Amino acid sequence: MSKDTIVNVKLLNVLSNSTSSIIQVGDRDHSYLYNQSMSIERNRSVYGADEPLFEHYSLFTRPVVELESLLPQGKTEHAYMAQLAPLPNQLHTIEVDTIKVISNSQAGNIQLGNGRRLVAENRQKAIIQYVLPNKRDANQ
Amino acid sequence: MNIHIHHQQLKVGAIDVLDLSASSNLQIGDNDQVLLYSTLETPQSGIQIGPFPSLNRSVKNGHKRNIK
Repeated sequence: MSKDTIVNVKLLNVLSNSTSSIIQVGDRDHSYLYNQSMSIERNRSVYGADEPLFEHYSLFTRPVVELESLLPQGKTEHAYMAQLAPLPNQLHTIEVDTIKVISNSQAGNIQLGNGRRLVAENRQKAIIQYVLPNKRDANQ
Repeated sequence: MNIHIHHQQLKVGAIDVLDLSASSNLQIGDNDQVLLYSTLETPQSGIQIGPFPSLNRSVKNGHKRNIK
């Protein structure tokens, strides 16, 4: 990996960057972006009720599926990046004119430069909850 | 498999992105390793009838949370 990258950006226009997201100009070694969220839709408004915990759902704890287990055996091959260096007497530069981004979210990564390892993990769960009326509400 | 990469100049004109989300990557440059993982559960499997399970909860006068 080159460590002397010169990045020239004329215009970088970003409207929104949120929830474990990165916009980076330059090189990096290791990035780990992690986002977990739950959204609940209820049939009626309830105040002071119990809220769900992430620990109750296996979605947030199950391990990441390895790609090699999904591919047929013998079809995968490891690549060794043997030579990652600039040519002699040549600068490694990245020149970008304009970048316009409206939204970058949920463990999204935008980078102008080189990196060694990037891991982005996003886990979301949507729940529709039918809240049962309690006895006091039912008598009224 | 051996790959020989020689870094030279990278030139990009204009990039216009509306939305980048859910473990996505937009990169101008090189990477050794990229792992993008995203999972989403929606109804039908996400329907909950009644209150959520709670570790510490006492039911008095309806659903009242009791945190010790």
